[in-house]
Amino acid sequence: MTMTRIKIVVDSVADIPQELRQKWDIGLIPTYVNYGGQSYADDGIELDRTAFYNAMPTMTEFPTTSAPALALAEDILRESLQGYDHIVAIHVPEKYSTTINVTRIAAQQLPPDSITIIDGHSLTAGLGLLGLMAAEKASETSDVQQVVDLVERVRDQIIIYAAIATMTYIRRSGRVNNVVAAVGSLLQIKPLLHVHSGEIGVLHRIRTFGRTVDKIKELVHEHTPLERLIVLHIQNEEGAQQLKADLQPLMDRDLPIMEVGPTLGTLVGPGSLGVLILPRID
Amino acid sequence: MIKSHRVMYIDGHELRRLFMGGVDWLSRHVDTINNLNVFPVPDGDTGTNMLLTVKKAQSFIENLGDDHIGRLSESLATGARYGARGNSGTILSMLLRGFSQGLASCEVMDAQALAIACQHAVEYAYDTVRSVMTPQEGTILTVARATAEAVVSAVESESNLVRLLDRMVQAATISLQETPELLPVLKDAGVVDSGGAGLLALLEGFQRVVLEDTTLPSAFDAFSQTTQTGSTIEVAKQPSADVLQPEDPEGYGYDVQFLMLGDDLDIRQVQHDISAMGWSPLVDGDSRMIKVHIHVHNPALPLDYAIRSGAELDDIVVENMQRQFESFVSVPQPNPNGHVSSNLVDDIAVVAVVRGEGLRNLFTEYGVTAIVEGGQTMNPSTGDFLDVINALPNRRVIILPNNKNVVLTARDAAEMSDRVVEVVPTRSIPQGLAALLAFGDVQESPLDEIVDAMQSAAAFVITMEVTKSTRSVEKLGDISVEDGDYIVLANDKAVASSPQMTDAILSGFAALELDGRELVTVYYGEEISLQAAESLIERLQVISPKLQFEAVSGGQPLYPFLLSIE
Repeated sequence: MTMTRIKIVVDSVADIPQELRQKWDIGLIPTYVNYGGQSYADDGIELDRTAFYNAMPTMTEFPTTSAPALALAEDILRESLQGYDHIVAIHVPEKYSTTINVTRIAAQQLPPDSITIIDGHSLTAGLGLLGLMAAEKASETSDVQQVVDLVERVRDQIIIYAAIATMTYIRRSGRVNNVVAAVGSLLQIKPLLHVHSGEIGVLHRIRTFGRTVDKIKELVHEHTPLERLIVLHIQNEEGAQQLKADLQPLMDRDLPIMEVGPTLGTLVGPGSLGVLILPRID
Repeated sequence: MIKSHRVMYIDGHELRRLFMGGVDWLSRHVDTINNLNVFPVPDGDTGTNMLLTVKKAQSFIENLGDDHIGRLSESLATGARYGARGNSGTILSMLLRGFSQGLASCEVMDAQALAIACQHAVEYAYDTVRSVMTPQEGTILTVARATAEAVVSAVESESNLVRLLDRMVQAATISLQETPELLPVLKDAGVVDSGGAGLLALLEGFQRVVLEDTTLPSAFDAFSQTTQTGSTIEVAKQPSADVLQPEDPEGYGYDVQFLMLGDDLDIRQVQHDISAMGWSPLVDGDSRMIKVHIHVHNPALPLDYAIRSGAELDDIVVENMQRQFESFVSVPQPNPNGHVSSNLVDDIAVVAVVRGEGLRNLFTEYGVTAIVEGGQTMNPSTGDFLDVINALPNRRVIILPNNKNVVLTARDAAEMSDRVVEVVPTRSIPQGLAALLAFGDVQESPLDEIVDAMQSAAAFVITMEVTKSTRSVEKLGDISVEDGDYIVLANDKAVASSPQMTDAILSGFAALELDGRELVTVYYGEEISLQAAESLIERLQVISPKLQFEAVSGGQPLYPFLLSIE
């Protein structure tokens, strides 16, 4: 059996907390958030998340996001091979971001067979979870195929449900036209979005945020027993704590709460709540 | 022939005369009956609905050259069924259907046959209503039953149809007077049941033809006096032309009607051949005259067929239904960004009853397949629903009636249609919108689950309706109303009234149970500006600072404001 030193690389939309990234030595290809005439790498260092989110409601122009420059991606991939034989890069679905394509082009500079690029079919903690599971598997097996198999098996089992507090940012982003069309513009709607198998869709069109969150709880119950359950929010700590309290009885270990990072946050907007679930497979 | 006042039997020809007399007498009392509305709001149109129902029935027998009373009453019932609108109109069409079934094999009707037909009418109507809801006493059903019982018990000793009709009118009058005792809402509102009154008007009209006496005393003056208003009731005023003018516009294509005249016409053959040419066929008559009515894409087909058969044609009417249809309903184009199925036939269509431009836009935006224009004071008929449904390619259809007076008609249309039609019994526009939004989320599920999901979404919404009272009522639930006051209904219950609209809304709103509610949508009507809606919202926000408010242009007539509380 070949022993391959495997480096996991994700993009910033994976929202893996700094200390976990360091623990598993996971590489990061940052996406950029542009506002106030500046462009900031969403790497947890250059862009201060708290400051960004605090400023968001008062920004005169909506922030935008962009993929990393090709040269930067090339640098990061080259550096990632220092001390490693192979990179497994896990990215935001191609449908919603060009980052994976930037990585593909950047990978052409690398030695042959030194990188495997996978569409993560999920967002935020969904990608993060895949990255962490991949890193664990890599250190366990040192076998690229086993790591790839794991990611490809798990990515379509991860489900994210999100209650969207305002459609303003999603409309502006222009990235999910199916969602915008389904939600319409004549009535205030707090859609329940569903991220699964690389697709973002509207699961329910509900007029009030509270009932949308209630619906999320119902849906989570339908998927029990769960392997993983993570509460997600954007600038809605209070709502996240409440949701955690409501869902905690489903799990033995303390439920993690994660704030979605600025790249995705820019597209979704503050106030939203969600959950990531990975149903248990027997 | 009827002058002798001793009539042992009548044929179809005479029944037609009676019926036309009934329609005429009903038309004279339309406004009185419209005003016998429990809530003094401008949806009191039972009289109009019943008249439109019987007018359609009359149009099906007017030119029928068949005196077989069984066949004539069958045509009558078929026409009534197409014209049926409003709860009472729909129940009336059921009574006529049951009546005609009871007479099916009779060439003429004697006292025994009348008793059987009346009994059958009532049984059929009760059974049919029961299949969708619990029949309510103190309504047209009660009056019909009392009338039938009078005939059944009198027929043992009485075979003169004139005297039996007299008994029927008496029984109907007494039963109508008793309706407030059976239905407390009538008593509170100080009215008798409007549908029962419509039935009595028909019977009184029959009597006037039989006795050739138009000066007979009528129960209607007495009922007018017992209502607490009196003043607003105008007797014997013809309903306005624009209410009656639109006969049911038919679906796409052409509506073709003509009479075939001959010596030896084969009715069965003609029925068979004509029916194969289009949809909504109605072919009725005898060997000398056949009335043909059919919807086709090419009107030349049935006309050519009739000429070739050797018959002479008369009274040919061809109408372009496409144009009428377009002015009456809209079938929105699928949203280019939205879900567009390649197979419309397998998709489920949603047909909603809506009035007001803003509301039409809303229903269109949120995915309704077709809109039937109507609602308060303009209830669509069974035929209107069938025309719209027939014009759609979809095999499965869901109807959102969006008004309590349209639910029964929609259910009857569902039963008559050859498609799979389900009714989600929404009673208001906000309920309809909630159901429609839910539909978009579950449209891939089995039909019964979809209907359940839509129903529970609708049930969550509190609907508040604001309109102007059409008469004074001393005791309307817990409030009293003066003629011309603004009146506020919350989920069909009167909760507030005031001469000042804003005062009425604020006090109605303050009375609501708002626990767990987050959002109030204010649909403002055609005569209300956005500014007026926003200033109302400012006032409401003071009462409930935690709620979110949203002003949406509804453009609905008669109701300055509709509020949806979720």
